[in-house]
Amino acid sequence: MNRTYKKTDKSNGLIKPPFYIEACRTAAGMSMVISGIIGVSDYCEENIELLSHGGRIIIVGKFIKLKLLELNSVEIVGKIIGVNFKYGKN
Amino acid sequence: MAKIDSIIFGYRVISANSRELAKICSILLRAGISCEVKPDGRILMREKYFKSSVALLKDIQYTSSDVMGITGWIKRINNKAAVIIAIIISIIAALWTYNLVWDVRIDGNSEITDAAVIRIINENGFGVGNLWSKTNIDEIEKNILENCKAISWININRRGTVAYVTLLENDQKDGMDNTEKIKYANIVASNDCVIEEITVLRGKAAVKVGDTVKKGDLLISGVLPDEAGGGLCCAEGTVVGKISEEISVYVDREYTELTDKKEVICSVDLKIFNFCVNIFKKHRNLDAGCDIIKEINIFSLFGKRVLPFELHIDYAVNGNVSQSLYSDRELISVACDRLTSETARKLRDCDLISIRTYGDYTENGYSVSNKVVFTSEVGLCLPFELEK
Repeated sequence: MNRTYKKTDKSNGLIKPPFYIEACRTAAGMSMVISGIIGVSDYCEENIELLSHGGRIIIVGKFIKLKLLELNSVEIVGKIIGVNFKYGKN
Repeated sequence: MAKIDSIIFGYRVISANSRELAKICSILLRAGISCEVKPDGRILMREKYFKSSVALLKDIQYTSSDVMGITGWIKRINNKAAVIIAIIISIIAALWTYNLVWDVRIDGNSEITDAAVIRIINENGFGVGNLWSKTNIDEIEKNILENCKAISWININRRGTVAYVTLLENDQKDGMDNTEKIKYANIVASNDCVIEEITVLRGKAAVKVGDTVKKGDLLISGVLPDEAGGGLCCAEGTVVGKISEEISVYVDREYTELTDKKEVICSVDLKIFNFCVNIFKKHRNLDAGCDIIKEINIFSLFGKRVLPFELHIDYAVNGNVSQSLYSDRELISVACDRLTSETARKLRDCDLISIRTYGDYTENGYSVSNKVVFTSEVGLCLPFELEK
C-alpha cells in the first residue's frame, strides 16, 4: 500500500491518537503505514524506532525501508519480523 | 529506485551518517515533507521539497547531490538548442514514418498464395511504401473485387503502420451454396477405413470409434431418432478414419524427347504502368505439344528501385521428336519424383501415420509404390429424396 494522506482527505478525522497502523502484504514482504508519528529516534536497515505521543513503536526486520508521508505518517516496507510497543510520554 | 514522478520532475539525494539520519527524518516528518529513506542512509527527496528543507536542516551535517532525473539532465546540458532541435527532428521523422505502409499481412487465403495476393494488391495501387494519407482503401477494395474474380470479399485494415488484408476466396462461397440446396442427406464413408473420431452436429451416428467400415457404409444418418423429435434432416458432422492405401507409379524405360531445340519468338509486349503495348506478334498455328516459354524482364534503377515497365517475351520451342531410353539411375529418379508428388497430392489434407516404400524393375520399366496409413476425413454427403 502506498497511500498519501492529503489535507482534504475526510477520513483523516477518524485517525485517533496515539497512532494508527494499516498493513498489507507486498512482494517485498509487508507494507505498513503508521499514522500519528511525531519523530524517528533510530533508523537502520534492521531496526526502526518511531516516536508517537503515547510512546514508542519499534519495528524489527530485514531490508526495511522507510518512507515519510504527509500528515505525520510513515510507510515501512520490507520483511518485518516484529513490532514492539513501549508506552510513555514523548 | 526513485519513483517515476521524481525521475521526471527531478530529485536530490541527501546523505548523512546514521546518528543524524533519525534527526533529519523527525524534522522532515514534522514539516510534512515526503521523502524516501534508503537502507544505506540516503534520502531521496523531490526537488520542490528540497528548497524548503534546506532552511529546516541548517543545523545538521549532511551532503546533497545535484538535481537528478530528467530535469537535472536538462539543466546540465550545455547546448540546449541542439538538443531541442534534435528532439523536434525526431518527432517529425516519427510522424512521417508513421504515415507509411511498412508491412502487408495476408489472412484468409488458402488456394491463392500470399505472393499472388500481394501482386494483385500492388496492381491495384496499394503496397509497401504507399502513404496512408493518400490511400483510399475503399476504392482499392472495390477495384480488387472488380479485377480479380478469384476473390469474393476483401477488407484492408490499418493497425499502426501495418496493413492487415483479410480476404475470402470465391471457391469457399461456392461450397457454401451447394450445401444450402440439399434438404435431406446421409453421411457415408468415402473409403474403407477404421473410425478414429466421429462428431455429429446434426443427425444420428450409425458407427462408433473403432468400427471398421467399407466404402459407402452409413456413418451419420439423416433420420432423426424419436427422442430428438423424429423426422428427416441433412446430416452434418465430421468423421475421421484411418485409411491404409497403396500409391503406385510405373515409369516406362522408353520415352520421347525433344532434340535440336530452337526457340522462336512468338510475341513481344511492353508493359508500362499496367498498360500493355504489343510490339511484335507472329501469327501462325503453333504445333500441338510444343513448349511455350514466357520470359519477363523487369528493369530496375541501380538494382534498388523497380521501374514501372516490364518486357514480356513469349517463345515457342520447336525441335525434333525422338525416342530415348532412361538409364537405370534416371529411371529410379524419375519414378521416385513422380511417386513423391503423387503421394504429396494424395496426403494434402491428411495426417500421415506410417509410410513404406518399395520398388522393383519390370520387363520394360520400373515400378515403385508407397504403402501409406493415414487419417483423413471420410464423410461424404449423400442426399436422398422422399418417395412420393
